[in-house]
Amino acid sequence: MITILERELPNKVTELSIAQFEAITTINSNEELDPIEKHLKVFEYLGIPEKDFQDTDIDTFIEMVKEFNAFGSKDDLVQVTEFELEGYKYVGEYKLSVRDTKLIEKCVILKAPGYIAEITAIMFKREDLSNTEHYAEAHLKHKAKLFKELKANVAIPYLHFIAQKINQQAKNETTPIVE
Amino acid sequence: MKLPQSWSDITVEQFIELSTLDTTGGSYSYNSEALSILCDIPLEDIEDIDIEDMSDLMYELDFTKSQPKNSFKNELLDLTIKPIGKLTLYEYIDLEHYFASDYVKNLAIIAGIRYKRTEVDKFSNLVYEPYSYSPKDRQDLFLELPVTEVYGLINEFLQYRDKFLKTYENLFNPEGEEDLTPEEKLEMDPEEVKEIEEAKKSTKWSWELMIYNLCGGDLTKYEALGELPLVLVFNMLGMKKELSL
Repeated sequence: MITILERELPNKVTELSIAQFEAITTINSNEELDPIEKHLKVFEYLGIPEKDFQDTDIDTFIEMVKEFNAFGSKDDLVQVTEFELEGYKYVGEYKLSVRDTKLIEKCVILKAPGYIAEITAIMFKREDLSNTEHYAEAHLKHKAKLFKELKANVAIPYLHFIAQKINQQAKNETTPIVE
Repeated sequence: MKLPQSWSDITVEQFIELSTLDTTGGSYSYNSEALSILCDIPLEDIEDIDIEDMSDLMYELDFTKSQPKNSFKNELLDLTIKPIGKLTLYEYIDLEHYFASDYVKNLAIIAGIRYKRTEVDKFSNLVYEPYSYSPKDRQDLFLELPVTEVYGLINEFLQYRDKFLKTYENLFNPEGEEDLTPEEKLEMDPEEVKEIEEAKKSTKWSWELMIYNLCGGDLTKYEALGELPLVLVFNMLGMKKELSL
């Protein structure tokens, strides 16, 4: 946690929830905002309204941003391969089947609110369930709802893994042409 | 899993199925469904494999990145292709309809119009059966054939149609409907102009009205008119227009 304008803000991936991480990612990828607007929006999202920065000079603001962004620690990105939630054990694998990738692709195309939690829900399977139950739409939605409050460090290594895999695949991509 | 090696291993039915796939759902979705169609295995089986394995399989199907060869067989299933220049009016009208709605989806029906039963008459002329059957009833015959045996029909008709529309341009452009002015064309994107002009050509022309006028409103002449060669009918129309008959 860091303290900005006497308020504590989560800035590490072990402190931010998946939902918060997604919201910050969305703000940062908004091309209509300049860097200062992006940071003001991020702080506003985390609880400090833009108006509270009115009396902050630019150098101080830049220092605050630097401090906020200094969350990178390799220790925070320890890969989580299993966890328990509400009495059930969830296991994640660094493996992508075609079915997983199709579902993830859909999440990424739609980018509906909660899509990172949805991707995490695809990657972590409940140990006691069959594949059919795991991939049931209602089950995935329910899990995504539960997972959005998990810390972002659970999801991020899987997001990196997916991005890396898909980038590799893109090089060999072939698509049948039927016009 | 038996992988097809070239388009000649793909049936017309598979080719049509490929054309109906949703291309907006993402490449993994499209490729898995395409692989299921091309290898004729259930989609669920494809979905269980690792994406790297799917990528390897797609690599093997590299030939699908290009179109099948633009050729067709002259003889198929004891049927003979009717030369495009010998089409009758009704054959052409039906081809126009099936091409306009979706020529890939309708490929088997299009083949059903083009391939005919034949006989040799006493003067040794090859006589084609009349167009008195429904091409839809014959589409099943063509669905199992390799797509390469009929694919060229598409290009042949499109080229013929293009030439035909140019030749009889004045007949497809009735008076009273104004074309785009050069100024309007300059202001628009060339692709848009082309699209509008193509659309105008098809919307301006009413086959029913033409048939009605040629038969003088006599319904009993409809059938005989439809069996006349397309070129003869349009030459007559051209003459009528030029001489204001």
